[in-house]
Amino acid sequence: MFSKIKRSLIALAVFGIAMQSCSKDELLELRPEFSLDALENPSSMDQVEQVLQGAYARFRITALPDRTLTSYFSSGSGTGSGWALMPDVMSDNLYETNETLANSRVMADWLYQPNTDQIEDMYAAPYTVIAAANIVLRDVDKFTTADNQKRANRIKGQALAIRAVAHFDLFRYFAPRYDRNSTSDLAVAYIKEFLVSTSNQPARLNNKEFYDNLFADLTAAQTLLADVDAAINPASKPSRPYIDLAGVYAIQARAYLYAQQWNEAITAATNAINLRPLASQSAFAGMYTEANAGEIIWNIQFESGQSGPTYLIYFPAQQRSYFRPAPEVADATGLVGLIKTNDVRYDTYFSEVNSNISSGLALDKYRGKGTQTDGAANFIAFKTGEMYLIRAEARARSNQEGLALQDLNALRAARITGYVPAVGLSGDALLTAIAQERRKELIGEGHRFFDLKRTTRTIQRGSTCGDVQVSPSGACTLGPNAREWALPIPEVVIRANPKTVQNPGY
Amino acid sequence: MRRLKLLLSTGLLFCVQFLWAQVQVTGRVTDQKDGTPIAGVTVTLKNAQTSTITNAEGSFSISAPANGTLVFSSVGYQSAERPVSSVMNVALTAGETAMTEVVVTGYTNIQRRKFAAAITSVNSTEIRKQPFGSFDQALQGQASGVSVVANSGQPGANAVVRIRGNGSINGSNIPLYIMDGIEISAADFATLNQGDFERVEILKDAVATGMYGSRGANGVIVISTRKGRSGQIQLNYDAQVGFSDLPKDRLELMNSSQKIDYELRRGNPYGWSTAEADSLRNVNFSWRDALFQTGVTHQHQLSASGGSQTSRFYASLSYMNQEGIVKTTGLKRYTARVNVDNTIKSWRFGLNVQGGFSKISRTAEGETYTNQPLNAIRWANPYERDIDPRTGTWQQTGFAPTPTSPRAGQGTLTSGQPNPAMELFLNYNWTNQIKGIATSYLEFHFPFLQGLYARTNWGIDYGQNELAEFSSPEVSTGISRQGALSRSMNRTFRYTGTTSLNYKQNFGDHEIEGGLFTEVVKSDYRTFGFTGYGFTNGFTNETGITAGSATNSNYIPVVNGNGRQNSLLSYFTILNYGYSGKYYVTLVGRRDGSSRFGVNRRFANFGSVGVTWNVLQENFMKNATAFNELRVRASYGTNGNQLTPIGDYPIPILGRATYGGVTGWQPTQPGNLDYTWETNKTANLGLDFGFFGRRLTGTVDFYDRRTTNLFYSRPVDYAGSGFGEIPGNFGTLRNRGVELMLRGDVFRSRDFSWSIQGNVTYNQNRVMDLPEDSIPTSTTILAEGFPVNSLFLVRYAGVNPATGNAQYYARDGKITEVFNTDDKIILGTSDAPWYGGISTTVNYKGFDLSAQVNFFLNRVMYNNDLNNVTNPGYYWDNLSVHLLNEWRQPGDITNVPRPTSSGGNAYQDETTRFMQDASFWRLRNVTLGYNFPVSILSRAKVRSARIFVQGQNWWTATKFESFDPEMSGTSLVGAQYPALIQTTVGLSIGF
Repeated sequence: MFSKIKRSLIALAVFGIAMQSCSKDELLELRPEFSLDALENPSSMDQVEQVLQGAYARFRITALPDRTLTSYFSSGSGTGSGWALMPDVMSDNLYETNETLANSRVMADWLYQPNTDQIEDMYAAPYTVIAAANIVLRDVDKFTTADNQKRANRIKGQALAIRAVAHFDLFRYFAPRYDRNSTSDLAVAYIKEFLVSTSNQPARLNNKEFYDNLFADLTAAQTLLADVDAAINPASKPSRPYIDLAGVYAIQARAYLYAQQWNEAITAATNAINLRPLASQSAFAGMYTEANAGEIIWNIQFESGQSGPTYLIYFPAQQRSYFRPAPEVADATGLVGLIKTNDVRYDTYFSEVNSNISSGLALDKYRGKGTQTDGAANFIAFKTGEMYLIRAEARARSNQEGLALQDLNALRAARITGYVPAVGLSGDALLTAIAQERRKELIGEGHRFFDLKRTTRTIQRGSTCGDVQVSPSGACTLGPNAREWALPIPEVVIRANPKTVQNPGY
Repeated sequence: MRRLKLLLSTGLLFCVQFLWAQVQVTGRVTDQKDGTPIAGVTVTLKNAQTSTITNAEGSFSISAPANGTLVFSSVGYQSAERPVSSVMNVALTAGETAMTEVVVTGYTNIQRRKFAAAITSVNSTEIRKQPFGSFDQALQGQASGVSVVANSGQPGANAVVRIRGNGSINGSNIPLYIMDGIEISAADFATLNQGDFERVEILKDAVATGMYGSRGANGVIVISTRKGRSGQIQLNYDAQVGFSDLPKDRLELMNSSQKIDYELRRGNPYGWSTAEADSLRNVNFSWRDALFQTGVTHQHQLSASGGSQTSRFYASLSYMNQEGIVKTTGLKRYTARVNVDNTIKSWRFGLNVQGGFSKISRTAEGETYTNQPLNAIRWANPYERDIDPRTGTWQQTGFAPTPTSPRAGQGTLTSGQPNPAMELFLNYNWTNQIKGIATSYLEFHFPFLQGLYARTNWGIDYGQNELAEFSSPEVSTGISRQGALSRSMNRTFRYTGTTSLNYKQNFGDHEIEGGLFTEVVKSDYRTFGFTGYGFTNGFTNETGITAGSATNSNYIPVVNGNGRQNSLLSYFTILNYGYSGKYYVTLVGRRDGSSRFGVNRRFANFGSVGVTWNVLQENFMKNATAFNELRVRASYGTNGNQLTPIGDYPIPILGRATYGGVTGWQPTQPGNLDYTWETNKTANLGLDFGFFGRRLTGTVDFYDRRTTNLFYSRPVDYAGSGFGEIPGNFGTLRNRGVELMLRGDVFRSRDFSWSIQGNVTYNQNRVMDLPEDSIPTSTTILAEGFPVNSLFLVRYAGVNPATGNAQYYARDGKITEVFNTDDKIILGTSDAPWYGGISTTVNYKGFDLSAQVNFFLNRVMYNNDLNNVTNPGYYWDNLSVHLLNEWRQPGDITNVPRPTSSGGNAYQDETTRFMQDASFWRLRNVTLGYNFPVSILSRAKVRSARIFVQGQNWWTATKFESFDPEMSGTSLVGAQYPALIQTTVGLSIGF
């Protein structure tokens, strides 16, 4: 009997150990080992600065729980590139070729609806950038001391500039009109707080409120970035991946141009030009292959293996062009279009690439760095050439036509070999010349759709449109009253946020 | 154990007692399927107390009156009755009579008649014999309420198994798999040998799955591996050899001459000269023949079983080599298993260990990329070839070099379509999988109280995958970085430990059986890998990688790594009470704590109750002699689903980001500290019956499964936080249905028998409640009152004969040429509400012939594969023959609109033109076998021998235009690797 009890006790001990071998905390209180717990982080100035890096990274790509967004400056397979090449695709700068797999036909031919996937991604991407910037702005002051004040300025100033430029990019697509002081036109919500909650339902601001917020952020950024601890962009590199003071001036210049505040636009452009003079012709070509920083004010940085902006229109390794430059801008002869072979932009932007089913120029300036064809080219968001054109336009529209023509000639002289300065241009002819130069300078850099939107509000596609041997696209004109000038607010957003108002016509 | 011995000797005693007045019967009992002898069969003289037990060779000897009847019964087999003769060789059929049948739930073994649960035991011989690389494929049509759909025919690919419908919209619907008491990954079946399976039980209702608490919502599949049988060591060798083929292709494409004519009609885009066109018309290259093959399958298994009364073992070695029907694809598998069970005094302990290694070579599928060979065979023009006969090398007619890119057009055909043969033969993609499953148990029977014992069961499930994916520098995707090799390793280590105190005793009419349990499950996953570039030295393995630096940054390798953990801590009880053999009540209560849920919602309680009424035990049924069995079961209870769509950590998370070579952080998960389980409430009402000496038996179950607190991410405005949705628990989903299983012995005699059995399930899936109703996503919609996977399209109304424009039905039924997404309507679901299987078996002497037909009815799917070859914009590549009927001139009556988009005739794909009836009937299996008689075998000193030939999927009836309609999901996206048509010859010998 005794041995039986002993055996039972041993058995109980064995089973007891088996039951108690793991503690409750060990099992249930598991923490991620490969990511940061956002309940308690960022918890230092270093981590705040790392979140700022995350905000920049989101200009490139954003990993959301359900999908990855490549809709800002990077591209998917025939999609994305929302603020890099899409405004050219949606305008008369590029035409769809027969090599297309029609992945962005819905955008190119203005067929988008509130439920179009690409519209949702284009709405989401800038707000993901803003969210990261807002985390920085929420936490940077917590770790600011007298000793690191200048570092804090550097971080905070960039975060404000990032927040401003991302909002402005949303505004460019989703606002029906750009009028500075309109209180009836709807802009987009201006978000200054990172708040995860289903009850967070921001409302769209009107244009005036929107611009006020935008310029307030830019002014604050300008002040902060004038007083920093270290250079934001290293001088030694052929790339300027961060927004520094020149970047803030450039954003201001572009925004004031849209707002038609000519004097402010002229001042901001001048400030930017003073910090970054125009590049020589040899330096200019190197800006697109990361050989020379040239006149880059701010570029989105792409590394090998990261998908740059090109794949919306051109696959450099396979040399497949879904879209090609309109022959009115440049053609394979180099003699007919706006950009001719004597222009540094011709060889920098284009190459002749033929296939069995489509021929002509490819817009291949984003083929890769150096001699690579991996599509990991940087995207130049702001460069001095645009600053000259902004200043020229602002001057031309504010009775300073002589100075305007001077700016135009200075830019052309920098780009065109043997350029003879134009004289005597004024009035509409001057404005047309500036607009044409914008088209030449900024093709494939995300401007044409917006430039037409803020000026003529008419798109008339050129000779390729409707010719099925050349292009499958059938949509050739967009009139001034078309609803498509403003992208629709995505259906999911309208559904989730009752305070958001849909754009007219959708 | 001791009591059993006593019974045995009593039996022998009776034998001796009746010896003088009887006929001496000798004989042998074998398994009807493979002719292996069955040891331990109880042979009883009917209406008497005489009995004996077969020895290790299956032989027995008994004295019986010449006009008597002997009853042969054994656990795991259907009992058989035979009139007495002097030599009796009896073959028993696997499967049990309901009266003594025991079901294994993973935690308990309980007699079916005492348990209210809806549990289907699948005939393990069916699973063992079918030559699938992944055993779950063999479950198709075997059990009511269980939908098994092969999404892929790649050797080793898992099936999509759904038990009683989809209960989760966003979470996982994968059942829980339990092997020998521990949880195993529902993924690595390619490295499990189903030849080792003894039993497979499918737990469906609340009282069965409730035992698994927060893991039970999607049903549970309980696998028990083979146990050793005491007696002399028995050796078995099983082999199968055969071949697999491509099913009929129902998506018909143009041949060379049709395609050339079509191109010429569309304006000759390539500018073929008349001579070129004439020459190309005659090419008619078969891309299918170039890429597909007849695959050879080999399968061998050697197993041994034996032991003493106190120690038994089972051991096996197996090898499988299955070539896929796409060249270069296949599965090679090696497994070994040892199962040992011991009894020493009051202790019992045992160990089950399986180790396996497999190598799976595959090709990409299920996507729409042009470089996937399985898309490319559809899209490559039939006048192009894999090899250019002019050069003898890969055909690369897309070549148009320029000074800036001398390698342009490389790897592509004229249209820019990558050459599928290059993509298949120059690239590779394989996984080496190591799988180890080990479980051990220790049981102590307390000597001072009969029926009380403690048990602890611990096991590990280890799965490791080593992956390689290579893109050659010569193919279209490899050009940009001179080839790419991605290598990675991942492993999942999970342990499960269950400890319990159990008690089982009868007190007069009262039966009590129950246990208190505690359990831990912890899983740990790690992965790392790299991708290298720059394959310039001719090697295609790691040696070929050029390590990049600043000067050739394009070759800088990419490295990565990740990991996660989750665990579960549970306390539960299972209690069973019976009265007088008539009434049984089962109570299950469980409390689970999971690391996967919000800190505020770590623990949850689940419970269920089941009641059984054995009607035949009632006095008023005494005279109902037609009945052999009549039982009513009812159960109700809750269980949960913890397979969330948001991963293992429900907290807000900052994930790594990089920009310009600098690491940063970005918010990657919104988190929700109140995140919790999906809860199922399932009611089940069942009836089991048997008539006419059990010649007709069956089971009917009615169920209503309601899932609440669905994992549902609430959409929010991206403006607020950059997130488009925040995870939460909202909404209700219902699955309700009827399951019927019937088995009938049409004819039964000594030499000839014929039986038919079948099961059919009707499952109605309905979304009951959503935070936001009717959310469309391109071709589907989530709407209250409709199934989860409902198609949502504009109805196609043919072609206007006057203009050639496509026409559509507006919502109000009017015909219009204007396509408008507002005209979409809800049309049907891809999850077949009706499905099942019907099988029949004929036995004549040693021969047996069986056939099984499975069906999935009333389902529709979107055919994106058809869409991609119907879009006239893709006329540079090959197209469907439907386009030969294109509208050409006013007055043409056709269903295919003109190809041009001008004048409001843009090609529209979200229409019913591409929705097709995806119902199908298929002859799943046919087997013809022969068991050699003992008389021949004994001369050859062989214990048993069986040969058979079987076929899989020989015949399929469907209207769906593709290789195969057997797919899950709402759409055939593209690059389909169809289920195989297989024929194998098998041999099974026992020594």
